[in-house]
Amino acid sequence: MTTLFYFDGLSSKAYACKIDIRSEQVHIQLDESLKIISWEREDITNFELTGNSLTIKHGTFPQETLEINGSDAVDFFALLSKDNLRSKSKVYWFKNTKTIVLSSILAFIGLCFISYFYLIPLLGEKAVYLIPKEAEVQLGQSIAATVRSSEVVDEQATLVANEFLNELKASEDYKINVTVVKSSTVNAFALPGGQLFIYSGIVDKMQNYEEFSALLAHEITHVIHQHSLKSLGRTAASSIFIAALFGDVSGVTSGILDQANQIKQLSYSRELETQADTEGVKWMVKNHISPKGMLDLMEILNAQHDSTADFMKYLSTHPETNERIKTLKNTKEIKYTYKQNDELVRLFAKLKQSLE
Amino acid sequence: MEETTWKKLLKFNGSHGELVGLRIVNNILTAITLGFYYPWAKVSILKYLYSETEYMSTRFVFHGTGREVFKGFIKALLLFGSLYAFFLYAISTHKPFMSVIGFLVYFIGVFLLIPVAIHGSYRYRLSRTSWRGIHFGYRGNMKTFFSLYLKNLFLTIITLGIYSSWMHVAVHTYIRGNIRFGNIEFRYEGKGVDLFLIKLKGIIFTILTFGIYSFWYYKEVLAFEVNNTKMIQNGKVIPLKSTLTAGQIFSMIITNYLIIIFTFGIGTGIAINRALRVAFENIAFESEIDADAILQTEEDYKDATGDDLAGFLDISII
Repeated sequence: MTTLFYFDGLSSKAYACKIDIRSEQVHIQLDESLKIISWEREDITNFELTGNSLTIKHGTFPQETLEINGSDAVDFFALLSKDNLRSKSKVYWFKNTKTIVLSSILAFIGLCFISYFYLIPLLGEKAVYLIPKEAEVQLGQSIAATVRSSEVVDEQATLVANEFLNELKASEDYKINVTVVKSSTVNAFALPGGQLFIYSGIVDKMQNYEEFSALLAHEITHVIHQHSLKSLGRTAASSIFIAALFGDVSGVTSGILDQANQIKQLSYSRELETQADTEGVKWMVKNHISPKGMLDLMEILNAQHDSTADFMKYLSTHPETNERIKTLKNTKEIKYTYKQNDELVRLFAKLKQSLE
Repeated sequence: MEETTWKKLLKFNGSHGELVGLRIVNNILTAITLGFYYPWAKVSILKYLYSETEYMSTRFVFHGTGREVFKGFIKALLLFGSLYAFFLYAISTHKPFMSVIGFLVYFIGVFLLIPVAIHGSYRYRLSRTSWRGIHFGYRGNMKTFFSLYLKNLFLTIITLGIYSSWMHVAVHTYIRGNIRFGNIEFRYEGKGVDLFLIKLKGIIFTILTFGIYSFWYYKEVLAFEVNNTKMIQNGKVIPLKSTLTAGQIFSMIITNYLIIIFTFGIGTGIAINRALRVAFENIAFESEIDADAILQTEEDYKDATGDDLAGFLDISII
């Protein structure tokens, strides 16, 4: 069933009519008066198909309008669309669109996966190079200030640790600064711009200066390669991407995606740890320190992590220690040995002493 | 006296699947184009919703185009962008004085844009809406509305929000009084004090009943809006009446909320359809208009800047 109405644009009176679309003209015959109105096809302003409704407008504002509702609307649309009028046509597809919707969903999901797992994080990581060094240093310093205010800093050990560091070629790009925190935790971390934090718990377990150097080497590599900024860039890029995709539709979606993102982030972080190990070895070689210290450091960590259940390791930010040791043993530098550095031996002893 | 039989003349025919599908494809295209498809997405949704809405068995037509909305979108973006750029610049100087200035300029700027957005949005949306070939229109004067809005906003701020009921009534009396549908006029006859009492009662009872009364509160606010709106055709006044019940509002809100949550937002289209259906089908008219006797009176207006500003400011119009 199709209804056709003509509106003259001057009043709301609906004129039931019949239309005849010809090559040059459109003839409209009003049912009531049998009057015939002829439109030149070129004077048609535009015509739109919205579902099963076709609206044809003619002339300038206020336009005459034909409204065709029903199954024949599509045929009339096809008749009008021929020839020179195509540019004035517009289809708003609303009906029978399962295939369009489904195929665009599938195409889009594919695109999203590629973007979310490869493209976007990479973009976020590369964006880090655009951040000026001063800003990076400033960021590190402001985080460091917060950390210092919430932890107990061992002033004496911090002094000695920095003395130790000054004996070494730490980095050409960053001014490295160590803070020793009084805590039994076996841990250490690096902030952007060169701020290192070492917990006294890990130093307590160390036997020689090579191990301490290995720890510095690992953390300094994080700084030099801007690992924390890159992680931040990746996470930020992913969140922006997700926000753009889902808008602020639902907190539930973002919660689930957040979990997925964290797991993805963990694997990236394991990649960075491995890099910090292997590049750290090179750093030790540059400073003429035997890289075996890195293996010993791993053993300290291994002893610490033995208590962790196996399945937890998949969710760990660091790779499994045995794997790290295997990777380290595959580097050519690991076998290099260097003469003992007496000054570093002295400073390491002083550091241990200050912690007692 | 003659008994009035209230007539439900508005009908919404939207289908869940169609709107959900349309929204999905729109979201995808908007995401892929980094947001630039937004104007076309918005137009397609409006075209759909208007074309599924009937008054006295004739559907409405939305005439806006993606291109018009896009132009407005760019202008609105530039306006907001320059305000925001100034704000960032002021902060970056690290001078407390400049930062305060930047902050003030930004927030006052946004506040001043609100009446501009409302005015522009009504002009654009209504001009682009027609029924039986007759266009709607908004005849409000920008300057008058601007000063009316700011005066009321000032009073609302210094009374810590108490004046907001009177502000709402003043603003909408002006807006609705300036809406034209051909030669049909509209009128809003709400009284600030009535709205204030509804709100006062609503807030107190909602707290006392731990939120349960909120559905009756919504009902009363909606009834206040609808019942105080009148249509006038050739001197004949046609009152409107809301038939919405608290129960309908309750079931609509609760189910819509569940639909949105359990479909992870994908079913928002269903929620929109349900809300519109309940809203339109509960507006009753005292009598029909003379559907053949509306005369075209309004001029054409194609600037969508205000409408896009309103979108940025999250002001929803009609």
